[in-house]
Amino acid sequence: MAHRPLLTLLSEQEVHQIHTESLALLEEIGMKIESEKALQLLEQAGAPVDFETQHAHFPSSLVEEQLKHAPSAIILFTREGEPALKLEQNNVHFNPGSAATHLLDRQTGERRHPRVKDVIEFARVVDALPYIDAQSTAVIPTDVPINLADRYRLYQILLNSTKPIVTGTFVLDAFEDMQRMLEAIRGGEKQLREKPLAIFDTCPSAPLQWSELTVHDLLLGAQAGIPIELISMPQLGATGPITLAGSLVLHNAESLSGVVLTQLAAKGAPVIYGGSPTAVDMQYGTARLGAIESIMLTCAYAQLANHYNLPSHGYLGLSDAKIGADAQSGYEAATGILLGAMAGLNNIAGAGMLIFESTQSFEKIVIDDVLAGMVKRFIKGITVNKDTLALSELRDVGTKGGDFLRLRHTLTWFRKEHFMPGKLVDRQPYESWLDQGALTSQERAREQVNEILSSHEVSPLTKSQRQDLDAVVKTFMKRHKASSLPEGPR
Amino acid sequence: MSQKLVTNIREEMINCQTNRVLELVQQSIKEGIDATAVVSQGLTAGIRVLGDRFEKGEAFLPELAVAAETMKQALEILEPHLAKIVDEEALGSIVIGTVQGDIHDIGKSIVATMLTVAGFTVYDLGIDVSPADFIAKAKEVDAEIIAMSALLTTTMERMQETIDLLNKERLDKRVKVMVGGAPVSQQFAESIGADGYGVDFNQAVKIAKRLTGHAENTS
Repeated sequence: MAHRPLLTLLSEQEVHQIHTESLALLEEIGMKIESEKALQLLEQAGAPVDFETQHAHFPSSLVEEQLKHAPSAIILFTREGEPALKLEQNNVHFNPGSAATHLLDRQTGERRHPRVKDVIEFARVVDALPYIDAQSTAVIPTDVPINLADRYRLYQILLNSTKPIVTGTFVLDAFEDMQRMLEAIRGGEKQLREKPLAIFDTCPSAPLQWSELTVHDLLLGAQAGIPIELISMPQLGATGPITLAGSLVLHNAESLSGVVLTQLAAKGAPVIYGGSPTAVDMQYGTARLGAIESIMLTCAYAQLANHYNLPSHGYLGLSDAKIGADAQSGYEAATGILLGAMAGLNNIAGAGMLIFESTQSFEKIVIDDVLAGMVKRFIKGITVNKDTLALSELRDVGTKGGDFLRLRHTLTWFRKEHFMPGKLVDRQPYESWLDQGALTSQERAREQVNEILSSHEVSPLTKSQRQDLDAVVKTFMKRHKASSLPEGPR
Repeated sequence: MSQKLVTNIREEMINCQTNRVLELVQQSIKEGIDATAVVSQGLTAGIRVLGDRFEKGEAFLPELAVAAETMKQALEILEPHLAKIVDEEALGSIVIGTVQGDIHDIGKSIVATMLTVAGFTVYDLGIDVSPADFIAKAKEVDAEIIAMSALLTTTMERMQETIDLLNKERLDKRVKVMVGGAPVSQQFAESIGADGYGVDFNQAVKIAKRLTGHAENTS
């Protein structure tokens, strides 16, 4: 095993200090929780609760106790039931940034609202990408009623990809419909519990609040054994302290409260310690995601997640640039993806995403796939053994002269040791680049997207899976009086 | 002496020294200095300098936010001493808040700050504001504009209810409505009959000026 390069920003003593201060915050100040049920669970566990003001204090002993029950590994399976995401230790997996309200049109580059057709195309592109390990419900279709958009995008992704999915809801009656859809694929609740197919994101509202919708999903997910990803998102300087250490305490307190709630709902429930911290831009008031401070906060909380031995998630690889393939979108994405992987985050979401988490880009997702591949190579580190040290080859060539290219050793090792990014990364001689049209990164990325869409086949669902899935969709369409939707069920 | 005191207020405002500004304002009352001058040549003049620096990228949001808060506290001290604040450069009053059911504060607060810096008198009702509360405050302070914010697609519908209530009370001719927030668009603003929509605080200030007849010639 090669040495795993692991980035740490905090000393062990500082990790402990952040932990202690977040426990103190939860105990002294507590959280506002807009959920009668969650408050009841906390009260039963001995927490001081005020139902009137919907507020609970979390005794440190309760937090420490519940942390022990949360599992340290979560495995997500493909639609076909094969293990895909192994969220444990320092494994790293990637998925696209989710819930974009906008999309850059893959032909015109125009920024516009997504449609069902885009959900399908995006899912198919991601399905084909070798280094993006999971789907997310990446764009919100606007040609379906807004209160159905959450579950309808999940439906389309289940039809158009075999990868596991990171998703979430917008309204209270969505979770159970989405759970039924996943069960339709697996064949039942028990089968879904055994082989999770999707992760649900739940976001506390910084500072120190849980909204009705997020807790609702969190409790249902925990009870059904569906992995819940906690996305605390303090905005440095706005909804969180401007200092990194201060926002880290807030982030950790919110995350720990989420862990407690999942474990009280169902002991041993799969929960992922994650987040999406941002920093307010003090000139424009925007939420900087590509900023180095947002990335630092994420890498720092990865240490907390490791400290608790919990699977971890981070929102990285995003850029605040306005086009999918320019210098800023490249360097912001590369910085985040590389540092996040080095920090040992298990599930890194954000690929493809631009403009303060608002806009998905086909061009950026294929470029970020290359970055993900590069970074996966990097964290594999350098294998040092008798064979890789090439001791006999060095001696042979050193004695007889010649080169290493034609050696069997090179043939054996080149694919294992070297990452092959394909044509998106331009490594041609200057003249041939010129001859072939002097294509920019943006043009090459668009070409690759077109190529995938014209050639990539997604294996279909079985007949009974399709029937069961369509039945769920028809039921909620009927309930919501939506008689027909684009690309609707048969 | 009095001019020096007013100048000091202006300078301490620029330096964001809240306590110092409030002390000087108290002192101005003791010395019987015209409260209108304290507001226009001291407080407002200072905040405008910060606004100009912000435009040039030399000052930043935390400075403006503290200055706007200082302004609010100073005006509370001065209020009993002013028959009505007669600031010739004042642009008008705006009642602002995040709509009912929505607890997202920060975008709205930044817009409130920028409107204050631009010279409006801003009444920030905070979050989770009902249509009735918007209207009541607008009546109370004789506001020119009601400004509403929403971050959730599910809460932005509440904007319509405020506008409906405004129409019902026959205030729609006198009070203009502007809306903003991540899910809100120009198209949505038009569909609910709002008078203006801004994608960010810069546009919010421009629209507020336009709605109150202070449109800049340059823009």
